Amino acid sequence: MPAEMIPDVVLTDNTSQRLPCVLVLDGSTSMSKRFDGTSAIEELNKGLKVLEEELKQDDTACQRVQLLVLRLGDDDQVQTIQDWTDAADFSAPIIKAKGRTPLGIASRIALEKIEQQKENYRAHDIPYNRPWLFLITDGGPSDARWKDAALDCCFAEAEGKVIIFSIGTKNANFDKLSRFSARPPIKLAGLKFEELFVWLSRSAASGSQASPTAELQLPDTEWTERA
Amino acid sequence: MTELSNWKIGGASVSGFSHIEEDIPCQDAHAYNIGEGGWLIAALADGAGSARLSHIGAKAFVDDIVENSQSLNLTNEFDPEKITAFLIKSVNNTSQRLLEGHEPKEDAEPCIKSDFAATLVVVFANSDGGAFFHVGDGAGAAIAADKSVNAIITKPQNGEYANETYFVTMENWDSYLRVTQFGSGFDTILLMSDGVTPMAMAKGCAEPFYAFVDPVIRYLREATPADADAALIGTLKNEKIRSVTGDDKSLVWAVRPSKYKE
Repeated sequence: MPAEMIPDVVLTDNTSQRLPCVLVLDGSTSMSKRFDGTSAIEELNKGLKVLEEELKQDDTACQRVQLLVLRLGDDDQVQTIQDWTDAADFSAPIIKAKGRTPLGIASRIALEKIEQQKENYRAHDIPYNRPWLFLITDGGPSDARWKDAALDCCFAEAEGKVIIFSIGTKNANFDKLSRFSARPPIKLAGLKFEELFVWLSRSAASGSQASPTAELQLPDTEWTERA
Repeated sequence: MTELSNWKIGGASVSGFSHIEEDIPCQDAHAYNIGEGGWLIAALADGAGSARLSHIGAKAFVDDIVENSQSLNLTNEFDPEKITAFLIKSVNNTSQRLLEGHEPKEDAEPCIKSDFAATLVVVFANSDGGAFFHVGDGAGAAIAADKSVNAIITKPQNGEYANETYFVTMENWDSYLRVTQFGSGFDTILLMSDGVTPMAMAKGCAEPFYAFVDPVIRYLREATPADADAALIGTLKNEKIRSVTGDDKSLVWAVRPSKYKE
């Protein structure tokens, strides 16, 4: 009779591969506007809770994903709500809706923090996947130099430094959003933040491979509409 | 010389947990043979998760290499250049065959080469040594079970990002073909896909992770070939691996009696 498994084998992950993922979240006043008994900010916060649960339920995502959460709002301010943390330790923050939409400043900070984190990985010999940057808004950038920042995002993406997903709710300014990435922005159907974050968690876990030149596209799903 | 090349060989490819849940076929494949003159020939391919027919590609590439290698006329004189040329030809012929031979379903897009994308690690070895031939990630290791010499490793090649690698269907794929030779002091050969490297290799893939590799080799040496592969499959399907990877996992192993080792 063969053994069910080879005895005494130690099964551990010796590589500690990481997928860095930045969420740039719109905390502007308009996110609190109520419609059909809810608001974008309420649905976003519910979605973040779902993200926490999904990541923790998935053994691979839980080990692999590292998150950084930035909130933009106030008087064109950007706050680090959650500094780099393993998915296993991620606790869903509550995003407040108050202020403007400095998407340009926030995306620039996100790019800087991504490069710093890569340095950190390299210093500790930790393999990492191409980072994901999610820009999520119900409007459009309000800061003066957002066009320069958007161009920086496009350059960073073209140089292979990051994959950018720009996502807007129904009334977002998709013309402006489209300038942050070569891939078209995605319109969130309804306020399906929960579905978006379920997709994020599952995609992070799938371990799918792509050659260095391959394009990664957001899928057409029940939570997306063409912008 | 033949008794010196008395290889015992086996292998397993199992679907990853995430592939089972998403009903995706196992995209890893392996094949092996002991050729004339005691040459061990083994090939392992990992089909790209992003390519729709990569499970077909992976299987075709390894099957063709092992089958076609019978016509190679290998002598005791090891000639890596000859083998490299053979592999390039075999892979290119397989790519062409796949493109011409695969009929897409009526409503499906016509096939393109990258639909069959796969990484590849191949070993040719006899008692005097041999070489790994490698494109993309996964790994190979030539090991002396008594650790009298350091293992020779062919490491994964990923570029900057761990989840992005090189495939034999890329236009210039042969420029990513790496050859790593090893001498006669090794009695154990392992080939593995990237679903196994996190467990079987130490951090940075510079050497095997012996807390995994030693018990595996010890068991495989003693077991009958059928028992060995059944236990290997059981090990690669173990629930503990769920937290390591959701990806497919393949391991090809070949051992020869240590007493013959110089």
